[in-house]
Amino acid sequence: MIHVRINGKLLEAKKGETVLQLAQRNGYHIPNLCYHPSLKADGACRMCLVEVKGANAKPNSLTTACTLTVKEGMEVLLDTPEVSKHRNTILEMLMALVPDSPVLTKMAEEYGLKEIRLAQGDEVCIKCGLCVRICDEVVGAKALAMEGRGTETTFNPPFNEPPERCVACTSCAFICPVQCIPVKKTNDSITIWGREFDRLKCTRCGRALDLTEEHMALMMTRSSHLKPEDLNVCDVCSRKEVLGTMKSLVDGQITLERVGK
Amino acid sequence: MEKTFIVIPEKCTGCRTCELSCAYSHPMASGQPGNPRIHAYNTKPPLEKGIQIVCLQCDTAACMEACPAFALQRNLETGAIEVHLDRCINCHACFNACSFGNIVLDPNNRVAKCDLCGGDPKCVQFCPTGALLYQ
Amino acid sequence: MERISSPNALLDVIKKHQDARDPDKVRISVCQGTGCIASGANSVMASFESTLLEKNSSVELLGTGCHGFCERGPLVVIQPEGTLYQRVKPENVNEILDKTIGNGEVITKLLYRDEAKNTYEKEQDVPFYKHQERIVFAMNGHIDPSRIEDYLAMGGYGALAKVLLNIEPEQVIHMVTKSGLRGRGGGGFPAGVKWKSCRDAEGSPKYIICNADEGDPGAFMDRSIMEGNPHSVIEGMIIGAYAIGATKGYVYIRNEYPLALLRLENALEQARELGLLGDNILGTDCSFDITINRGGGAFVCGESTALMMSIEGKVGRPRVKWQHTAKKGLWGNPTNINNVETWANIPPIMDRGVDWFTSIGTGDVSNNPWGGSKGTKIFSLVGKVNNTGLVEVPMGISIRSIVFDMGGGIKNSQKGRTFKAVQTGGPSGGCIPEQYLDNPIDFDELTRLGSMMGSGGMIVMDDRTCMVEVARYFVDFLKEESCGKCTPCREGLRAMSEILGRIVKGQGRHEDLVVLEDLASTMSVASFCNLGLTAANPVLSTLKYFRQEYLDHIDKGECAGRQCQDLIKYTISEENCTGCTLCARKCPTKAISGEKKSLHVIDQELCVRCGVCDDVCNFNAVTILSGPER
Repeated sequence: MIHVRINGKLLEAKKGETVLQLAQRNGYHIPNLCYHPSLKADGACRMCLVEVKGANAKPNSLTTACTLTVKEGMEVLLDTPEVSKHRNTILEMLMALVPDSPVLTKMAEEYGLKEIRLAQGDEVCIKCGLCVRICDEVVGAKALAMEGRGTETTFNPPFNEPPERCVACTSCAFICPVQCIPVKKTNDSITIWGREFDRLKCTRCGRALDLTEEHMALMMTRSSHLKPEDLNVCDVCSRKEVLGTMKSLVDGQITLERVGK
Repeated sequence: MEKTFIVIPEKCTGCRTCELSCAYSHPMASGQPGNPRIHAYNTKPPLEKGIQIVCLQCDTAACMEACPAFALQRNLETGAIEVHLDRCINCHACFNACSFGNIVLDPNNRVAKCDLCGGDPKCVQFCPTGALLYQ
Repeated sequence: MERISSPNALLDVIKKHQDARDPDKVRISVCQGTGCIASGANSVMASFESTLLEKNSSVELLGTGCHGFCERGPLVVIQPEGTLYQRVKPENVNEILDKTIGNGEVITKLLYRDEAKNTYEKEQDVPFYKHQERIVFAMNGHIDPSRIEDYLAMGGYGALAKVLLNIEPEQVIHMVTKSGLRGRGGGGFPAGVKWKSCRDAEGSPKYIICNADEGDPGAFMDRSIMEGNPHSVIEGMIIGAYAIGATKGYVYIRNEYPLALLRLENALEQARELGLLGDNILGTDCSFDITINRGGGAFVCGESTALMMSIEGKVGRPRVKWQHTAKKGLWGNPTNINNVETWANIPPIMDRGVDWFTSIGTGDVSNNPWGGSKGTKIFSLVGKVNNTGLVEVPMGISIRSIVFDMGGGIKNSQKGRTFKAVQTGGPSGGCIPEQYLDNPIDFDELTRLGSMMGSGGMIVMDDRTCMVEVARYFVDFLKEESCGKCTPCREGLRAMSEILGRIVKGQGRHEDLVVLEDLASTMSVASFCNLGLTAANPVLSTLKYFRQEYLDHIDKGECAGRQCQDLIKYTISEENCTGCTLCARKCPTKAISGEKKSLHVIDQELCVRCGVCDDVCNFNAVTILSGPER
């Protein structure tokens, strides 16, 4: 066990975990916008700044909690005046970039950022890159890409065309910290990144599933146990089938031997 | 895994107390009760009984295999497959993958499934007829 | 040439080439560096070739790498006397061959002449060279970079033979650490410490990388090393690979350096042919080869992790260093990355020893490799200085010595131009004002002054330089080159660029300075990589030393450097104008009117404030007004 102090409180940390993980596990809140537990930290948004002491840290050094691995004897302070000053400047930069985000506005209220002194843009994306990373590293569809460099960076499907490799799992839209990826769902279709996908229908009842042909194909690459005949049945029909089996069991129509163990 | 979750349809009256206790013991982040992860169905006459459907915590679980984010992980103490919502990316792959309909969607569209209440299933506690056992 | 079978055999080969080289032989070396080529050295070279052929002369003609004195190119040096001819044209070739080679006569009009009209005959007497100490550049100008024989004849690869014969890898690392050699790419990290941690790291294969992605505006020392003496870099890398236990090396070189690329590729081929690269180098167990990786022109790819991402074929963005790259670098394996100049310093250290190297430079590194700055550093001296070019100087020399002794002072000083500041360390460096001219240059001192060593760019600015405009220029450069990954760098630079853009237009506000300082302080602590962490330096250092200029822009609409086009007005003074009509003829927009021998007048509506009239006026009649007087 590694011993780390957060805001003076001695905590036991697991080897290899980050300060952000340790803090979250112990109920401390560190603001962040580009971190997701299913991804390796990227350190892009810089909102999770903390002050570190001890364990060979330089004096008064600020660093991001998401990329800071715990070390024995480390002392972490979450809310020093320095941390809060720089965090607010970063938040100010983001709010100048994306002026109308409720998520950022709420953060500003929470951390006492009152005034945006910078020229305001009209973007909706804070350029954290989570959508591209989740699609690439977790979902595995690799449908999105980063384009451009610096202030011109955008995150979108290659050439900003309807993405060929997208499966409409909508994880990118879900994970986006400022909820700026629009998804339109109708009974028949899911539209995301400018591409309309047909929703599969339950083969039993015809109800629209939260699934597309493409997503089903991608899921089946993850395990040979996943079969289309199981995937394209809705949850209600799945339970009905179980119910039927159980009822037959109870009625004595099926013996245990006939359904396996 | 020492204990097993047992359903006894013969004793079930279909009163759905199990569903109620499940919903209330698994509230959503907003504090509202979630959707029940156990289902009790009232069978039609002549059989005046109920049948319960609950997660089997499969050995080779389709939900776990379908999840790209490793958000479903088996609790080695209870044997339950638990959803780690912090890792979940809401792609609903597990929801589609379960062929028993035992992954449910909460009203806020997040997935949920039976986690055996961490080793003390509330549905078992509240079942008035003893149709659910965990032993 | 034949493959060499052992280090001893290599020593024999070196000896053979050394003996074959007659130091007293008449040799004409024509600089074939990019700078001289740009001013016509190719045709001078061709002219020498054809004329020598015509005359059936046995005089040796040598196309060498960069001599450094790019301002005066094309350069020709006649050995063994070392007579330096500058700004040589093809039509001078016959004269040189007839008079100098034939009769030993010096052609005065081709000699270097300083502002005080003194002429200098020998290269080593020219002030530009006289104060330099050339270690890395020692062979530039004496060897043909495309011939490995020339390098061998100068004792090249002797250090490698010595190392393979007598020095254990650990001992090599110990020597590098003790020498106090610090990374010349800008970081100033002790090379030996980095090597040791890479050697000690677990994982195989180990990689070494030569960072040749030189991207600072106005800096070209790495290019000149690779163009002028590619084998020194290769030799350094082989010694490094032996010490670290690496089997594979990469040179990450800008694709915009075609000549350096060509010469490096050629040198690698020759080294492989001799068995200096490849499996079982010189018959030892050490195997190592080098691959060239051409960069796509992103400034950020000079950052070590971004560079590695780029070699791996990914987008060149810095990545999180969960562990130091020496432990987990390229493809997750231990990787040691050093700059071109650092690698080129290795052979001299191995050859001449630690004590010799530590005798040059500042501080004491006997117990602490951070304790000082040892050896020399090459600076590319550019800007408003008379002698632009590359200077290799011992650490600890003063900025004054570089700018005034070697650089020959400020350009157009007879027109009243004076020194204002020197910007070191590339775009993320800072501006150092006059009061620090006598401070010694080393890694720590430059950082203390709010600038940095960087890769060694040195841009001299005169009083006609607006410091706000300088800050704006560098901020805009960095804004274009920021990878866009982290918020402080991407958005901070965007905001700074917007604010500075307003100030140079005279639309600044006092609050802007507070905002600039807030942005700068956050960028310098919260950015992801060194590009962002240092990106605010131009703003911070100009705000610190030249705050009044910012205030003048804001309060009075006055630009002290008379550079900001929206704040200045060109006029012609009655007293000085002779009515020579030169300015009127040169004005691109025909904004100047006036009869011969009478006062000329500038039509402000038509004037685009390009400054041509001021440049061409021989009577100092053009004045630039700014602020209230405008």
